[in-house]
Amino acid sequence: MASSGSGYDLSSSTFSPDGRIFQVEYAAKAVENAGTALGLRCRDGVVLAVEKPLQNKMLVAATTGRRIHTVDEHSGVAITGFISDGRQIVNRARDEAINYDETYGTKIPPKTLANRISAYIHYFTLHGALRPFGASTLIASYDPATQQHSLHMVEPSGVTYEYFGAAAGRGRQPARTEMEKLAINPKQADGGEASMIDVAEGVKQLAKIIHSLHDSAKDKPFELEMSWLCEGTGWKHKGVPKDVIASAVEWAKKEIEEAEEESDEEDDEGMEE
Amino acid sequence: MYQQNLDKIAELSSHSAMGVSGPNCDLVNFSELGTGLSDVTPHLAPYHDQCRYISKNLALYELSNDGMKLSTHAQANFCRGELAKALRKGPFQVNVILGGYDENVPNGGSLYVMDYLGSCQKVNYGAQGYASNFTLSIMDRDWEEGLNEEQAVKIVEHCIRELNMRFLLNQSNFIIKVVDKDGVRTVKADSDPTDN
Repeated sequence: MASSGSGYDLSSSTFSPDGRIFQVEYAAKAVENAGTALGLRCRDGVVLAVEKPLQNKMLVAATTGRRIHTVDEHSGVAITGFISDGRQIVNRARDEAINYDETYGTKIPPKTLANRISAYIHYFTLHGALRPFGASTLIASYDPATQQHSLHMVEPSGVTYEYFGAAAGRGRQPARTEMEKLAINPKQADGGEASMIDVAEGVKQLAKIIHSLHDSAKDKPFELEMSWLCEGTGWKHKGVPKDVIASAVEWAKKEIEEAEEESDEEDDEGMEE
Repeated sequence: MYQQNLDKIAELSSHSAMGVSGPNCDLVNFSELGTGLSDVTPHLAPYHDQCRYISKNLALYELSNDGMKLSTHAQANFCRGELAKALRKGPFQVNVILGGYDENVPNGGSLYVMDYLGSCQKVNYGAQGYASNFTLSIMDRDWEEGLNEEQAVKIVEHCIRELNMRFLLNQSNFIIKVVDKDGVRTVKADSDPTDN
């Protein structure tokens, strides 16, 4: 929805007559133009995935521009949007986590971590002298006290919600549609909690979603960065091993091909009639 | 002349309580009584404020974090941190025993013993003050895994009896509180010997 700010969009500390802060909305646009980031809360853990577009052919791939960071042993963060803004958020999140552990002797609970990050990001939407963060943050975290894992997302405005599946960046609309089809919501899954997908399946599904959203003609070639926090990793946030990602991508590409063949056949049948 | 029946066990949260001991422990009060004492002994007001600071900060956490409770372990660590910070500024001069109940802890209850220097240790039983000289050995002998409330109170009463018999400076006025899944409650409170 393109809407001219016409004078009310020069500062974060100015409302427009219809009650909007344009600077915050522009910050969200910065995220919308960036690589897709996805998070999935599975039965036995959380998976994060980020599409890393390779800006130009001179880039040495698989080295720089890490998008997923570990905040504390038990929590990890994926960022999309302005990656340098995201780095600031990660550093702050790490400070908060260390601070909490030093004060209370326990790992920071997921909700508290999300609220602290959200308060930090929100702070930058209040001052005329500061600009909002142009980054969305997906937080995967585990609470040893309640033994619950969770996924949160914080947007540039500072709002944070807990999600079954979260998407940010370029392909978030179609990604959300695809994620809704997966069995990740225990209330909607037919078999309840037990029939929800596990992280191994989640890794494959996220790889498939990212690859199916990627248009090889229009978009730049990309790398896929993934991490998980699950029973299998001892509830520690770790990168998904390269071979697991590779086999997930292989499976994903096959699935996408088969789906295309099916729809081609259907088109053919339609034409015959 | 000090107050004989001061309740030195403060309720920190719905499922935790903290008892204090030390030279100024009877001045360092957590309840509203503390405000009154500040009028009587204004030069000691900082002590009253400091200890209320701990219990009120723990209450604040619950208020500002959507009703989320701090575990006993977290409360003890916070308290220890405050004792440590105060050490090189204006030390608390109180020794603390903090006990609480958490659902997700095996057996539910946990007990922490802290001193004014900022040490903290999770224990099965503990004592602070002169009492420790007499009672720790009793608890060493009598404590075992899996005691119920009745057995535990009996051990505490055993300790009190020994103090009555052996401790010269003893004032036989004790208050016993229990912290369990239903919260903090007073089990026994002796009357003030000066009330007659």
